[in-house]
Amino acid sequence: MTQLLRPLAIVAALLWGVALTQGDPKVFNFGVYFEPSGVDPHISTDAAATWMANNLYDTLVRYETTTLPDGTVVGTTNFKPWLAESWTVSDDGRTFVFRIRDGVPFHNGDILTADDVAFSLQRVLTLNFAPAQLLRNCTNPDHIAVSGPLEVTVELMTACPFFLNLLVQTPTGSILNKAFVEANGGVEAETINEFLRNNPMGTGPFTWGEREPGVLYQLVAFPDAWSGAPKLDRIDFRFISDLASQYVLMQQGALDAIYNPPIDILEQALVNPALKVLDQQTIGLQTLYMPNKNPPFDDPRVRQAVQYALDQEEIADAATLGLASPARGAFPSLLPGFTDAYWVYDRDVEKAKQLLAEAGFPNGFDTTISYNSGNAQREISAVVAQAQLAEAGIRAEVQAVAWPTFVEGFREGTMPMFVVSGLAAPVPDQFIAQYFTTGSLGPGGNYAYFSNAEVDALAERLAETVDGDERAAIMDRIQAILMDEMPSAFLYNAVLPYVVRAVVQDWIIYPSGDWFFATVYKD
Amino acid sequence: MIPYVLRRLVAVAVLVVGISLVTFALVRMVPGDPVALYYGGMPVSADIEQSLRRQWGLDQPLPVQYLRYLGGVLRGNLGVSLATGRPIMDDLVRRFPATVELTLAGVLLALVVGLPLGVLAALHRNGPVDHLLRIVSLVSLGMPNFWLGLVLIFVFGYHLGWFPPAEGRLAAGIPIPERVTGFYTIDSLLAGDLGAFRSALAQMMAPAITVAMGLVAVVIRMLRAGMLEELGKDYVRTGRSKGLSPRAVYYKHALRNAIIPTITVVSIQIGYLLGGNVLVEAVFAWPGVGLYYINAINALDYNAVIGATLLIAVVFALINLFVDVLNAFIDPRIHYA
Repeated sequence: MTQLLRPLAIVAALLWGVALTQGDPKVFNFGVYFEPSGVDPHISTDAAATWMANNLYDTLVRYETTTLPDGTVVGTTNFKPWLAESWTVSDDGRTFVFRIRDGVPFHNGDILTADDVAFSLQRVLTLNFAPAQLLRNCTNPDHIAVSGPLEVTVELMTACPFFLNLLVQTPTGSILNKAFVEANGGVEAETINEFLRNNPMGTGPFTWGEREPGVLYQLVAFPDAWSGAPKLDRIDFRFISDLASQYVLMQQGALDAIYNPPIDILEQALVNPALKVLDQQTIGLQTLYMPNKNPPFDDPRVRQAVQYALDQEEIADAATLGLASPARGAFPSLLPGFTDAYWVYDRDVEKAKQLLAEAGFPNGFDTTISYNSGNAQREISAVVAQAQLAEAGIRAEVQAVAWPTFVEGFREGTMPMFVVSGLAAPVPDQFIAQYFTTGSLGPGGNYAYFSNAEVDALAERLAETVDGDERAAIMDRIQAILMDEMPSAFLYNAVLPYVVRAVVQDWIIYPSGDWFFATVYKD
Repeated sequence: MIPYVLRRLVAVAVLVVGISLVTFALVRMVPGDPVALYYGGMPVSADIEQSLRRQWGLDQPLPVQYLRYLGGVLRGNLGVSLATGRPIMDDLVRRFPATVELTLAGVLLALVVGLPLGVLAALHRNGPVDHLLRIVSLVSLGMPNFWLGLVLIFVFGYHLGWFPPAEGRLAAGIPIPERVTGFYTIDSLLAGDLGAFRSALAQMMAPAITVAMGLVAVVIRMLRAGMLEELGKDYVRTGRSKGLSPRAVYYKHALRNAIIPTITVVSIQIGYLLGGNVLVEAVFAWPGVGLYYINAINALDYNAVIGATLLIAVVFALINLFVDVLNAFIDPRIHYA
């Protein structure tokens, strides 16, 4: 027996000597629960891929920051010169001439040229994956050219008033090293370059470090970055699928930040002095969809009744612990052009009942509210909405649905009601076209299956209009129509909370959802 | 023996084809669109989705998709992961050692703990120790392994500090040892990195205990039954009556005979564990084949799901073959035509 126990004793002694790493202050450990689909920004658009690409690559323009009264620095939706040190725009808004910054090194030492810029913009269009879908409405590869040393000219085929909003986005506007790409598979239309998907070459403040799939993805500081050496030496994206484990690790100092934790963890983090909760106010709305093609939601009175029956503030407080602001329109409040002038839907249960009676449902009706299982915000939103709708006579059953089935359900409009939010870039033209036009029904983004000829025409006009006042007037009219037609019930402005250790400083939150780690450090 | 082994290997090949077909069909029946999931459900133009579908060969008729895939499998190519873009064979080769290392650690722990306790239970048959061990066995057999894992993490790890955080195979900041075997314990020793070795062992303890818990019960009960059978045999009585010490009779003779079926069952259990550690790997963020499996299913990564299923099936079949051959060597009474 003693012989058998001896090996156990040895193992125990070894374990007793294990010293946990207390955390190198120059290494940032980020817990993520999903792996990136790759780091080729022109192909991979999932969040993890974009977070890494944000720091591996640069774009021609970058979002500006501003300082709030309390001293917090936050991102804005305005932009400033980045790899392009300046640009000019023709009077008709169709010719952009970019002056490229001189002496910008890639990670392999090559210096950025106008060729790289033109090549990169042409590449995203030639590949024609998701990052290209708006840019291709503005220009094509034949209209992008090197027009001088460190100068690139882009001719737009249409007015494209949001052109720079596209170039600021990492998936669309990242600048790659032309020679590196051509030496490693080149560019082939509608074909993924598997090498570049896993081997980045940019000018960003971080380079690609060690990578162990399913375990760890490292970004290592690039000290020669033209934008300045980052304050951190390294960022370790540690893949840990269970969020509860991530939180435990954070409390033990093994992780410095976790992303979008569930509500119970958020509750604990908010009262933990060793942690901070950063809430990213996004350009997105948590929405209770009711596909307009399915009765009884094909009647606008029923949809209006649903909105009247809901108390957005109660839902937002319950689902986000007060971090989110209630919706006051069909647009997210941070979307340029948003107005709450047409919001009349403060909670009125009697009004809801009256509208239902007018629509032929004096005794209400039965329905189902679905959400994707595991998403606590949507679950709570659905449950609270269920209770509120019941007061108006709408008897809803709440259903959790597995993610793949949920995605199919909302794309096909087969679920009577469902809660989902989408994040958008600060491009109102894109937002309106995707969520409210007939051409985007279902998989295109119009999950409400809403169709209105006037909105379709206005959306087209908006895409062609450059004048600011005229654009504002068009967006105003669209929002008025949407508030009348009420394609969906709008709940609250979506937030993405991060929990970070209190030692983490200068992490700037951008409404676009981008993460730029160059300024971040640990105190 | 050789003809028998060859026949079994042919059966494995047939198994691969059969499992690939069944898995292919089952995965295709799951609601959802991998292209839509690749884009996270975000709105994408129809032509761009179609482009990705073409890239992945998903625009072809199902029989064509299957035959292309099978052709690749028979050439050792399991395709490319739709979610990560990496060759699936590379991913599985990378991750398999993590699953094997955890499984072997769990089995070793189960044997180290279970064997002595099985002998103890047999030698004190129907006594208090025997009853206690029977209860312990029942409880550990009935305990869901993922629940045990969570208890180990939160109670024993977080609150009592007995185990390090469940952050995978190494603690934060410990560099991954240069890959030789893929077993972090062995690779760290080969690299002379004692820090990494200790961390790898420490990180493995809680998940290994979780894996071992159910197997310990099997070992205790199997060995107890085997020992009781041997202890009732004439040679044991003869040995004792000739004056041999209990130690010599029980351990040198009875245990040696009693342990054979236990080892056989444990070996087969290894096959199950290699494919059944999914929940343990998920709870402990252990980057093995099980966690890869879960992620692939969630992403509707068809190729990865089929690839992981094939790997587990082939490993299980080969382990069974190995056990059968081993038994033939150990026990001369066994003969395969």
